[in-house]
Amino acid sequence: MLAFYQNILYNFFISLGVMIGGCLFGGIAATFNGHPPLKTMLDLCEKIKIWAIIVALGGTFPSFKVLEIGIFNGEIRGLVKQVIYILSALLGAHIGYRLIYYLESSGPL
Amino acid sequence: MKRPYSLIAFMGLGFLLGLATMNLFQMHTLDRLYRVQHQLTNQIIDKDIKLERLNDSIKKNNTVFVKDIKIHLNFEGNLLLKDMIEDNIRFFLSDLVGKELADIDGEMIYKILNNRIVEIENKNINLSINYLIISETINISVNARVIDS
Repeated sequence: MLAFYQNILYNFFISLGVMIGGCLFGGIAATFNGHPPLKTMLDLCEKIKIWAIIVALGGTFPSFKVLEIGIFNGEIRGLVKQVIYILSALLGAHIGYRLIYYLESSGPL
Repeated sequence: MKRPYSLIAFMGLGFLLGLATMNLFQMHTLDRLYRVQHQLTNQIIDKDIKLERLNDSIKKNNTVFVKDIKIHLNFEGNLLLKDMIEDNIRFFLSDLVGKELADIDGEMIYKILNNRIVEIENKNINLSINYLIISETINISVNARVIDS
């Protein structure tokens, strides 16, 4: 059971890190390229949100395999676990997205 | 052997984090400047189109107008100060653009600018005219020097 909670935390923070790190460093690249950094960060935020979840889950196929087994072989426990993992990754990505999104309205720091 | 690598890693991480922090603090300013640049570019495009149309209509009327003013400024000093002096001179002459060439009074331009003392950033600057050519483009050469107040 402990591994389950640990995996939830892993998924949450990995997707959060992918979002924040990707956007921050994308912003640096935009500055170097002569593009508006904040706008680029927000564009990136929307683009990489779904990928952050996928990265956190370690690729799409193992998750889908578990979902398939859960649905067709009646392995409900595995199915529920996988859904919770996906939800925690989704939550991490969404919080990362919101953090970057609210940065825009913060005005100059 | 391991220690230099860890030092390099720390320096690299510090550099990247520094870059990210600096970017985080300046991104609003940068975005605003890019926006202003974009707006100004659009304004220039818009005004270019209007000017082109205006030129076409002037050509049809066969009247000669003053289209531009070129200021040749001789000033030995800071380039930003030079730009400010040029802006100041342009301010005095800006009304001439668009006027009929026959209506331009060369002596008046000379009297306006020659031996004029302008104050820019607490510095008194004396202007003297080298030459003045009045045509579709008014060419004016001005010597500027800082005088002790």
